[in-house]
Amino acid sequence: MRPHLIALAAIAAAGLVLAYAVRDAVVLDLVFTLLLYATLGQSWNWISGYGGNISFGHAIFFGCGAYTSALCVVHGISPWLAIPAGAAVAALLAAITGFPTLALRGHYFSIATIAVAAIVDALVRTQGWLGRANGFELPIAAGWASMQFADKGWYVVLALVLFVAVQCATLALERSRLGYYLRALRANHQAAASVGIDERRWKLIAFAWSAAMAACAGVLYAQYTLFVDPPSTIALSVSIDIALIGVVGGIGTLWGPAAGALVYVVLAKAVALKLGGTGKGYDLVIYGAIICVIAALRPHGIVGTIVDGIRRRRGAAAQPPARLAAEGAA
Amino acid sequence: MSARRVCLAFAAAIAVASMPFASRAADPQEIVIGSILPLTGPSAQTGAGLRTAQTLAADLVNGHVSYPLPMVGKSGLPHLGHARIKLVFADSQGKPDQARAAAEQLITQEHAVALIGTYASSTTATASQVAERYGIPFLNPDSSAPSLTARGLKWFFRTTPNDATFAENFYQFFADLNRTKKIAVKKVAVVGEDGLFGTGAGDAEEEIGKRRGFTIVTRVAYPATTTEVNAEVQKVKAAAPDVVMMASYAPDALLFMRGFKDQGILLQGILAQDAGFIDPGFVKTEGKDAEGVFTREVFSLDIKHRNKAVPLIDQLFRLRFGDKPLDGNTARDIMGVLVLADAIDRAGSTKPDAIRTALQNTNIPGILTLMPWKQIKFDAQGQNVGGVGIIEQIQDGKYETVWPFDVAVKAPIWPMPAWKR
Repeated sequence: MRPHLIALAAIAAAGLVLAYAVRDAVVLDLVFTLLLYATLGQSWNWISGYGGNISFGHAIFFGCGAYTSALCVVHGISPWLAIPAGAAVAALLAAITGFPTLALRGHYFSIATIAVAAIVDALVRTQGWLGRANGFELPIAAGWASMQFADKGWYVVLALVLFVAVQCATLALERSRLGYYLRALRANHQAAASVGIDERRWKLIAFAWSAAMAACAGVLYAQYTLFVDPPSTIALSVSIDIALIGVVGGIGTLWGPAAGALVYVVLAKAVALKLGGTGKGYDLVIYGAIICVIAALRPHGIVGTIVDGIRRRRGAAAQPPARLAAEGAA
Repeated sequence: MSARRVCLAFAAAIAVASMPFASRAADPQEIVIGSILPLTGPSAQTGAGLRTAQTLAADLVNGHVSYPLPMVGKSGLPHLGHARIKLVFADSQGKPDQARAAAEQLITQEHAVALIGTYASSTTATASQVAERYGIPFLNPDSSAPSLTARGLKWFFRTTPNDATFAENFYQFFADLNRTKKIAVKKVAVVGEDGLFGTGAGDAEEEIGKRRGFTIVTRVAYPATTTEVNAEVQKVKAAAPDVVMMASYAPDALLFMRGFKDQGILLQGILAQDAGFIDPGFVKTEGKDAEGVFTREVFSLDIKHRNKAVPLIDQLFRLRFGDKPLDGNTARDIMGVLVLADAIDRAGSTKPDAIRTALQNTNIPGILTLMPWKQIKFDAQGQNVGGVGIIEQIQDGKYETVWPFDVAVKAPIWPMPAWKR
């Protein structure tokens, strides 16, 4: 546990220094995006990595946060209130949708999440008070009360706080009863049920937490981008991005989503900024090739591969992988 | 591969990706304009055309061959010692957050004195907010969501008419028909896909129609990916409108045309917001059934009757873009670059404030543009007040300009012919 906390503290310190010292908007933008996607990936990891129910609809929870934030601003309510409100709405939505779907096995759960996301998407597009397809353009403001800052450093600080909080929560998850149950259910749900683990109950709890964390990221996104509409928040493509981050980094590991976000943001976004102007899509080719290589050669993701390597060196293959994943990455 | 080697390879990849590419310090003789376009993603095809159009416009400004267009053929910007303008492009991927990052990069790293772009209304919304924060002029030549100029931004200027103008044009067309031919249109059905495009257009058509005293008998929204529209067509039939206003992409436009015909709906006119109804496949697939369909456009080569530069610019554009003709999008983007160059030149300075003031004082007569517009002049919100659209009608398998009457080459056929059985 301690090495992880030290690593987190180091990241937090480095992030704070960066937010204070760096004035390059592009670098700060990358750091913010990196932290945001790492948080989103980790929230996905709770239900899909530890719980083993691969979700392709996670963007709707992200969207819950973003839309709550937008609605708050439009109605003159402080966006800070959107953090608890958005998280609560997302958790409720997760509970409602998870109750019938979490019992589905394998691909069926994934298909169900796609269906739920499509329903939410269609709903948002037809509801006037949700802005329909037009979405919301949030007015420019400044200051803490409106959660908007001319200085990007503050956004990085907020994203950092959220990221550290989510990492700590995940660290706690790994040591908690919920975490052990989830991993037991993932490994063999029949064996887990035979010792009295209530699958639906524990997975619902994990799903609700997962959704709430994604919603917090959504609030931050809305206040940063100042534009919320269905394609940029709740669309299937956003859900796939979130899932890819988890898979590329290594599912069911503490540092997997962060590693995945590093690939996604640094390679996809940075290369897009440098090479995107050519209009030849080199950035997408490079990003796609990296995903293919990782998927073909290292299906456990980046962190999973590192963990495997350490395990082989120690000759301790018998130990449970998730625990090692936690230790190995530190 | 051992774990260490994987780590090393990964670290190397990141190092390569974040390496500072050859720095592009602005030459004193070059004024950088940042352009954000959807160069990859679903609108990449359009983005490639816009990129070609803007590059052509920059070359026209920097060149010395003169056409009746603002700032063309003066070997750069005369008030700035004939400095050349240089466009630096960034990709929005059609995504709002990527557009925001692109705007930031162009302002802070490329030191763009002004931004232009971004085609999609959603990406324009985020990119222009970045420009607002940094106090950099943003010229939008091609996004049509009315809300963009309603945000009270100080640094945002839009040359193109927006969806509200297009809707206004439809109703003005009815008024003109009434005035000249005593044709009365009263009941309007509004049909559109449920994305940004259809919703924005439909909202404007509904609101302006009501304001002008028309009856909106039904409003139908459907997902653009739909494969059948029977229920929607029945809803239109039940409402018995005089005309239907459509905002559809190509596949759904065809579905509705077939539905209207199969259910034998009698319409005086179908008025479309281009898109699916000007798709090259539309007339080919519909054949005789396409006859009489009206569509709004922002540009037509028929404008050559007003400005002799149109066919010449069209030729230059074809040479660069695989013989594809100049269209509404590319023509608007050429004008965008010219308007911006004109403002920077009149400002005589690359200071953002000076350029903004020059933009506010822009006054270009419509005859000196590639467009059907009356003039280019911005109101307090940054919207060009002289913008108008064109209405075309499919006659003998061709799109003919029928409105405004001063640019028209054919008289409108009204009502549209009955369905052929």
